[in-house]
Amino acid sequence: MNDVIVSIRGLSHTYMASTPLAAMGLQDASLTLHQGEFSALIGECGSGKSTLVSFLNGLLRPRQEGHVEIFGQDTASPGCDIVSLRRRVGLVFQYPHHQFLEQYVGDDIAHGPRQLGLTKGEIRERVHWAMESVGLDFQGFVDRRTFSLSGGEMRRVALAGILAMEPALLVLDEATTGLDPRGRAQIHDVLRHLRADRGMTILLVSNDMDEVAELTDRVTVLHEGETVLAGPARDILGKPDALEAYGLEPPTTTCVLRALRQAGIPIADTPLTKAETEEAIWQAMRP
Amino acid sequence: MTSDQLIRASNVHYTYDEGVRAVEALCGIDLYVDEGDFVAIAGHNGSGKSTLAKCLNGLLLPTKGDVWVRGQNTRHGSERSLLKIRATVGIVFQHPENQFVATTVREEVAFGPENLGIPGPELHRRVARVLREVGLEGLEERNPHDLSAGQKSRLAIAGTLAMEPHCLILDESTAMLDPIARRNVLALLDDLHDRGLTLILITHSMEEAVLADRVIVLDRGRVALEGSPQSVFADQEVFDELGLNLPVSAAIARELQRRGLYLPGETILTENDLIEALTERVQIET
Repeated sequence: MNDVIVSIRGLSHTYMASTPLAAMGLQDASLTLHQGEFSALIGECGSGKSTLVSFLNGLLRPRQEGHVEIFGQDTASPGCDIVSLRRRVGLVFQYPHHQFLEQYVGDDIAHGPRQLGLTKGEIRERVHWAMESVGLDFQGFVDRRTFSLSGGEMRRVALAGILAMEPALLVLDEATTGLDPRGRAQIHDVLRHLRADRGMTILLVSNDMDEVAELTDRVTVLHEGETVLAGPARDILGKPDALEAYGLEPPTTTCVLRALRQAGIPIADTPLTKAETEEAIWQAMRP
Repeated sequence: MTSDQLIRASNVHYTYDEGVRAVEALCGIDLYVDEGDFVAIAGHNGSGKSTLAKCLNGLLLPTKGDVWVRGQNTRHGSERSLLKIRATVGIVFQHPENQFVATTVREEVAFGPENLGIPGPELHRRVARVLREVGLEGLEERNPHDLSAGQKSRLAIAGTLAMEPHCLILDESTAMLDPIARRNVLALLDDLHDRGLTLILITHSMEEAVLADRVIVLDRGRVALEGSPQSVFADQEVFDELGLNLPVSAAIARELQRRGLYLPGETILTENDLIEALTERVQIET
């Protein structure tokens, strides 16, 4: 396929290499992302997810083994244009307040676009669009102080700040962990729209398999720094035994279906989402 | 007031003064918690859960209304009686690392009881016992900040348990944990409750709320629903209105029932409930 925008192969990374504190971060990790795809990166705590994500915008670059190519650029090469890379790859982290740079919401979201040499009007338009996209009322929030916001609002401001850069690839590193269901559902809607309306490529790093099952179409599994599974979400999440072997809790839907199959109930196909699962059970058991 | 009543809140209001505008977080809360209860306080972000938690052990004093802990009003009394209230009702917060003060696990757990003036030999016994209870034995000399997220959460619980509270309030203490670590912490809580500890679990996860004997749902600073998990989840309309999400299994069961599939047994809340109901149905048919 020629629409590959991220290609990571055989990547290894050791933190504090050649010191007594050396700690293995990645060992033979790989990741492929296609244009317009909604992908998930999963793995237990400490499996190297955040380390791998740091390679996507050049925060880390391959020093040891491995090849990292993002939007056609080899990030290990001295000629790699890191600035243009960072404009195309937006990272949203778990702790939004760690990425605030300004005191007021509007300024914080405008911070990125201001670096792009846009006119005032263009910047304002982008901030407006980004805030509306994440469900923050422009008038109501533009003058609020970032530190007076609730946790859910902070996450939305952090996401809006990244969106205002109009990245081609959006990476959310546990960006919904700890949000309440309503806030989480809002962010999910935002992501679905960004993908449908703007064709944005999205990578979701998550521990919540129910969320991954509902949203994504490709899944990559990391285990102890190594990519152990990768493929369509339906194939990967449809095998709960394999996920459990890697210390992961499979989605509720595929666990329920596994139990029903074991009880001799014939379930057709491989349902994954809540709606598909409910339909499959209905078809198998309808009165 | 019955003798086994541990906490009682009556018409509790709390208003945050943000200078230009006042934010009303609690608007007249009435509740009770008996010795040995396992209560979940649920609600979405901003519903007043954390403010209420802080009112229940005197960290915050209600702007209006009263909270009694074992008959002692948090508003009146000396510094000493307030300390006693806080030793009776301990709180564990969402980011445990924010509450760590020591450089080793052992010192971290000893910090609270040491401040209460517990003598050396008793202190050592207590620290050893509590670390055993939460499963952190063998990590006594580790730096709290080097622990995994799940271990940090257990350490925060251990530090509070070392004060020998009657009641533990967990304010979203599992929200940032991965599913396996969360399950382990919840199993620990279940175990502590079996041994007589009163638990108040503050959560926005309905998967967690179903573990409690009684669920209190807050909405905009008021008690919107209260009762057993079964009865709270049965009130569909109110539940949807509050913007709370049913656990995945409960949502699937509800939809199947709406379409006319009979499912035996009580209200389905958990994955196991759903599997049991469906397999039982097949057995009835065959």
